[in-house]
Amino acid sequence: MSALPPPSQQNVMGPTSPSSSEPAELQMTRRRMLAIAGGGAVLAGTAVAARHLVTSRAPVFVARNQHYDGPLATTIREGLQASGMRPAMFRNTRVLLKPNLVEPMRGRPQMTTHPAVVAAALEVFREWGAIVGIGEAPGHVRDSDMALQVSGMDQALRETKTKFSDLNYQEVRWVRNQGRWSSLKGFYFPQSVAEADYVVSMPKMKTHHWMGVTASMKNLYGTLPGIKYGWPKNVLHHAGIPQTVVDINMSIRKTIAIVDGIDCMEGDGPILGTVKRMGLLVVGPNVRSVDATVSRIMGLAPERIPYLALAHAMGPIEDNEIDQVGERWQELVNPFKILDRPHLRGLRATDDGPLVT
Amino acid sequence: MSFLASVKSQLSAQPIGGYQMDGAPASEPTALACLALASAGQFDSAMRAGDWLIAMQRSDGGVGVTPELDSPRWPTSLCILAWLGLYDRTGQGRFAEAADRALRALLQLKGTSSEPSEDVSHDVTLIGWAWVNGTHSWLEPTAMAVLAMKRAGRAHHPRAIEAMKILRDRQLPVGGYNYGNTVVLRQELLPHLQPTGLVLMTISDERASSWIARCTTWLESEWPHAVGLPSICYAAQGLTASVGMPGDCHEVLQRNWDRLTQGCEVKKVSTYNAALMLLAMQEASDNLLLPSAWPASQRGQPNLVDPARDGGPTVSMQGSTSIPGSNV
Repeated sequence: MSALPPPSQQNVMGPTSPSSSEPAELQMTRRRMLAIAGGGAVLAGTAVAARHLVTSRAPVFVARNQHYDGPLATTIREGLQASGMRPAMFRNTRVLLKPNLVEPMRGRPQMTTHPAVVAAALEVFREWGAIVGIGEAPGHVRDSDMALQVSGMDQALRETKTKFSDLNYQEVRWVRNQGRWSSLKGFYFPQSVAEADYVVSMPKMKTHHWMGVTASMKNLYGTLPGIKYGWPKNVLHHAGIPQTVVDINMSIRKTIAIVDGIDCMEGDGPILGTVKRMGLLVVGPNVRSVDATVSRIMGLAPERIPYLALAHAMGPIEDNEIDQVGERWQELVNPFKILDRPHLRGLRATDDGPLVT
Repeated sequence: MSFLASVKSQLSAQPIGGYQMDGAPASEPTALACLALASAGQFDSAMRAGDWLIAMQRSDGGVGVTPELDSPRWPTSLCILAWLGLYDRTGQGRFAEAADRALRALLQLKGTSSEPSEDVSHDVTLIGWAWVNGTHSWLEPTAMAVLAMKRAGRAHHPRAIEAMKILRDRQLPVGGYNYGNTVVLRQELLPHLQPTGLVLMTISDERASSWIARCTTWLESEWPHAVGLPSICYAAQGLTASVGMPGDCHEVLQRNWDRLTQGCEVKKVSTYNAALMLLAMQEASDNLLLPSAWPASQRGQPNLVDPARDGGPTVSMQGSTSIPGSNV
């Protein structure tokens, strides 16, 4: 698949470039880019070009044999460093951890990011000198207090003395749509998202009954406030799910992925599926590349996942362009059951992948 | 000072506020505060909230979610309820006039219908209200709009009747509700307390006994496990409207107040949370968010009979009252 952006994106400019997704070893600050470009007048074009230049390869770290009561901070620290991120990058930066708490429900922990993973990431980024917050805009429930308690996140917040940003109700800032795949001109991001130097997408590794996979890119739907977009965020559905997933990801300043792949969800995800124990943590500076590796492990073909296919300006999904560090994904493939529906069957990497009715 | 008195006192001191302790004022929390304070007889504070909402009202009569976001306009329903509650208790005409303008705006807002699909089991052709105008009709904005329409004496308006059909159609087989999907890709979705409580509040004056009973039964079974302050408050109000306030309601609320203020120097919660708590502690005859507290002419609108008994919804043409000056 081509790494070139569509013509409409060549003209993208805005306050948030460069975005998200560059591999850590090639990450540039906005100031450095200005210097390289020789001035602000050419910033926009250079930023776009640089984004595509630097995303030609991306590292993805995978760790196996992980447990919620294990040394997760050690794994995450190693994963971030192995995928090119350095402690100095985060000193005095604002880091927002964004777990998935879409619709917490008693007895269904496989639906939401485990608080132990979030607490471990928080420990690492704090240790590296970042100002770390946790925020989420649950998509199916208005009661975030309930969402925090049922998911167990409230305990992690108390133990780590961290304030929760309820992204459903925060004041917002409008940011131009940097992707332009959908017709939306921009997004109203909550302050905590708009002001973050890094948004760390911390999804649960799950199947998704419309998109096949939900991981770090789809999780960022939960950065948009319900007060503006509704419960569910139906404005985005009307504008196209794959298109808006890509647009949101491209419009957030910088993103990193840390995927909770320990106890996962298969079958009728993202809400009703059953537990699948994988014991994995997947980490990387490029959300698209991380999600591509996650898809492969789940037995799904990343190039067939609608939003991954569309996001080609964000970084590679081709296996030969992803630098796998830690475990090799090929040894971890354990196909997830997906619903036996026409729009999902074709997403499987092989025709004999498991289906469930 | 009793727990009820301390919640009332806090809310009286901050009737204009937001969802968070340090958050900017917003329409929904302030409308709920207005309703709670008027229900509790704190009219001066309630009128401060009501006047702030009037200042928020746009030229077309609708009310946006915050001062900075004049769309979407879903809080318009709650403002109608707040203003009519205030008018009822204070007789101040400006609140009735604001409600009249808001009702016109509410009728301009609508969700969209779509083509039926075997993937989604609810009736997607019915039109109610959306969170964001022009998107699908979802449960909570539709329920809020029905409450407002009833309160304004418009229970028999075709929009209200169609919206009531949505509320019935979106009930999950177990009796509860979620945001408004029931069965997707042949899988039954999960119910939650907050939307279920809201629907039960909305239908509590209907003569649809089996519908109300199923909803009540589910809420009663979940009440002992209830967590999350808004969920608890909506569940409590639903049960209050249907079968009476849960016996441990005040105790549960106080426990949650203590939890939310634990470790805080100042024992306060947000306007949103305080308003919900104060409403949840009101008896059915006092809570202005519940039909049982409204003038008799605006409640007990039997616009749907019990299909389980009578074979399907029918429209009753019993009389309704109207907002003073309203031509809607």
